[in-house]
Amino acid sequence: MDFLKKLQNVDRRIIYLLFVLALAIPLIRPIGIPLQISPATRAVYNIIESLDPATDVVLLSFEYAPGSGIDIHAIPVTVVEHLMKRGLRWVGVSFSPEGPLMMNMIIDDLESRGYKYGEDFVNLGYMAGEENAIRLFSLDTSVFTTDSRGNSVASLPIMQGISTVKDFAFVHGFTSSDLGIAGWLRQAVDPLGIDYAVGVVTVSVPSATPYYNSGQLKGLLGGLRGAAEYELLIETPGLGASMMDAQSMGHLLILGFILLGNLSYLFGKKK
Amino acid sequence: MQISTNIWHWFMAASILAMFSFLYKENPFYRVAEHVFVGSTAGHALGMAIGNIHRFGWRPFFEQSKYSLLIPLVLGIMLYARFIPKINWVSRWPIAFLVGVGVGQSIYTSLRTQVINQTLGAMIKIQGATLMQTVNNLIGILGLIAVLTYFIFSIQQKGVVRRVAHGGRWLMMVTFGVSFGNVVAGRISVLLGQLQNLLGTWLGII
Repeated sequence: MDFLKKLQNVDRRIIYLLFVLALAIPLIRPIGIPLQISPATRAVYNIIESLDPATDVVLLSFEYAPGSGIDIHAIPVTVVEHLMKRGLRWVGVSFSPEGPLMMNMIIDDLESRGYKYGEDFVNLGYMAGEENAIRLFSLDTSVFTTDSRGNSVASLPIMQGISTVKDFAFVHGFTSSDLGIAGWLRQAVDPLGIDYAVGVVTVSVPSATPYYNSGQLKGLLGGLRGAAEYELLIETPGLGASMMDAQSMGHLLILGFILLGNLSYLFGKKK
Repeated sequence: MQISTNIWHWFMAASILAMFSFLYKENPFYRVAEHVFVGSTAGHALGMAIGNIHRFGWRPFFEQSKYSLLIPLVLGIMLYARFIPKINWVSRWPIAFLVGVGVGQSIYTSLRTQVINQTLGAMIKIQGATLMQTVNNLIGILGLIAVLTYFIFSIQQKGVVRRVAHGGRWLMMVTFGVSFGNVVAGRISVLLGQLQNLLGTWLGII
């Protein structure tokens, strides 16, 4: 019973250490826990598979900051990988200040692999105004006269024939806030009737799911898990897939702690 | 194991470890990292804000002769009148404009996307293509009715109404549990990203 009492007063730093170990070990030595692909993830994949590389251009909207970390960043990495694999061109835009930075991390990698800026993709940069800016850009993409590198947008080959958001074959947002979900739905998706899917941080999955279930969102990628599922779909395991074992081990450890804590409380009380 | 020789990777690792040191106890390394983070974030936001005024206001106004932009430029300057006590009332005009535009743009679309479209989405056929789909649809419809019943305050909750409302409360508890589970999973993902930076990018173990 002394042991049970001690369990109720474990130093929090021991729990932190055990937690870091539970996550680090599977990162170094992956176990290979199988992963099921959800219909919401498959929906995004199917839309991109149905696009025509010869004519279609995709719009990607980056609304997240480095603080959200890999939980969201792994999603655009894998979606862009799919677009590039299929030879689809994409235009990136951001309505949060840090968005262009996150986009540039992906662009740097693409350029090192030989893809051409301005032809295969472009970073239009950031526009302040949140929902108002989304509305303005949706109705007239020429509000961006220059891209994030100072090039004239009108002269970029990828922007030829695009004047409103409706000219994009598909729009995909990546967001850590409500702006990329309700903001886009309010200002562009519903008024203009565009196909829109979104990648969100894990925390936002419960609030975004009702929009997917009602058909307002055409697809939904939820956090690291969503990224891992997508990586498996495009047969290019990356950051997401490599971390799912560690994620599962972390959850198991938390469940163990909850069980132990409750048992020690219960038996300690009886005594 | 291949330790990175890139100085920025070392800076990144030092910053992560300094932030993590708070888990042991408050210390000067954590304080330095915290202040660097807050300062750089604020500096970046300020730089982006000035860049935006230059890109979407100043340049089109002077280089493309878009003189209508004088209105938002002046309204923007008026916002700063709040720092001058004698004329701080001037800042109310641009605030009124911002509130008016914001409400005007979202009041109708909010109703559409968050009420009408969601209600239409809930009007589904109970019978699905498979048995599991049918069960799922039933849970959805009965759950919606139960939760809505919980929020009916115009009739006394007793008898059948009370039992249905009680079911709604249980369903909401399940939903809160799901939300909290997602919060935990999200925080683990953020930690995993930092472990990847330390063990992969910096130390080269993975």
